[in-house]
Amino acid sequence: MIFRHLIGSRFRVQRLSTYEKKRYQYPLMSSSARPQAAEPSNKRLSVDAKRGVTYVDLSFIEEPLGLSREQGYGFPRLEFGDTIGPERRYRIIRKLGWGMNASIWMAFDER
Amino acid sequence: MNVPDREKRYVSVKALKGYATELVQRGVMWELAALQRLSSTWTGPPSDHCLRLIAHFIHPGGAQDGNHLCLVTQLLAGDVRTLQVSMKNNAFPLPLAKRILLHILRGIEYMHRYGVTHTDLKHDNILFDLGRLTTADVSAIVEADPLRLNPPEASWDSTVQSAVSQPLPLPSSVEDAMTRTYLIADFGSGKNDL
Repeated sequence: MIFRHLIGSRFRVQRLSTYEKKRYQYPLMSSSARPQAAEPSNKRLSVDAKRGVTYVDLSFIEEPLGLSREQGYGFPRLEFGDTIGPERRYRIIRKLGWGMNASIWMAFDER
Repeated sequence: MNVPDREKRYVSVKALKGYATELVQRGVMWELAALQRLSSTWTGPPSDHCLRLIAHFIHPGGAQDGNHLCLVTQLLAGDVRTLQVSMKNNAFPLPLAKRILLHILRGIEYMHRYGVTHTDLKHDNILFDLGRLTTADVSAIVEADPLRLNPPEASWDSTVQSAVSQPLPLPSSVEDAMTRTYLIADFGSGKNDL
């Protein structure tokens, strides 16, 4: 339970180069066919001994999911096939991209 | 609204992060109001060179993510920065540069006529439409490019997995790029100038 002891924290949101990204990507497959996922290695802990503060650095391939609204984030966690909006009218097809304030999705208007 | 048929089925949804949604709700960010003003038809025909809002709604997120304001617009094919990088020597041929600039200027003229100042005009925020691509073409593109997820990543209190960005393909040629309509988007830094 490392996080319980955290006094300070900071986040680093880093865009990886296209080459690095390619290495990380793999096609969406059933969980049994998927290569065994390694333990996420995007977290670094560092200790400032003088101040007695432990920092956690998180780097993300794309938008930093899971960082809260209070921390200035709160990116949407949409999934392929989700139906959102009034009368669940828009079906999420794929992610087109993301920016500082939002992620952009292609959707199908079911009407 | 006079929207070509292909744009009635596929749309683009910009889902704001919880923090940005709050800023819009508190009136700090003016994105929704700016888009609404530029998209309203009673002020006259909307411009082809400014992003137009089709619908908007709040999508509830988890407790810590907050709510997501979703802005529904026509599906667009890409941005001018990515297009420029794809060009030989990172340079647009003169006729294409003139087309893009003309469309931007028309967009700015329309925007300013209705009292909207963009304040963040840059090539990332100039988008282009699908050109001659039909709904069937878009479906074929989607089917040919299977959905992908990034590997799991550690986050604040959980492991997360983001989707890989899979934008539509760039125009296949300069001739193709010359058939596209260019328009101003991302009014997240917009200011009311009335």
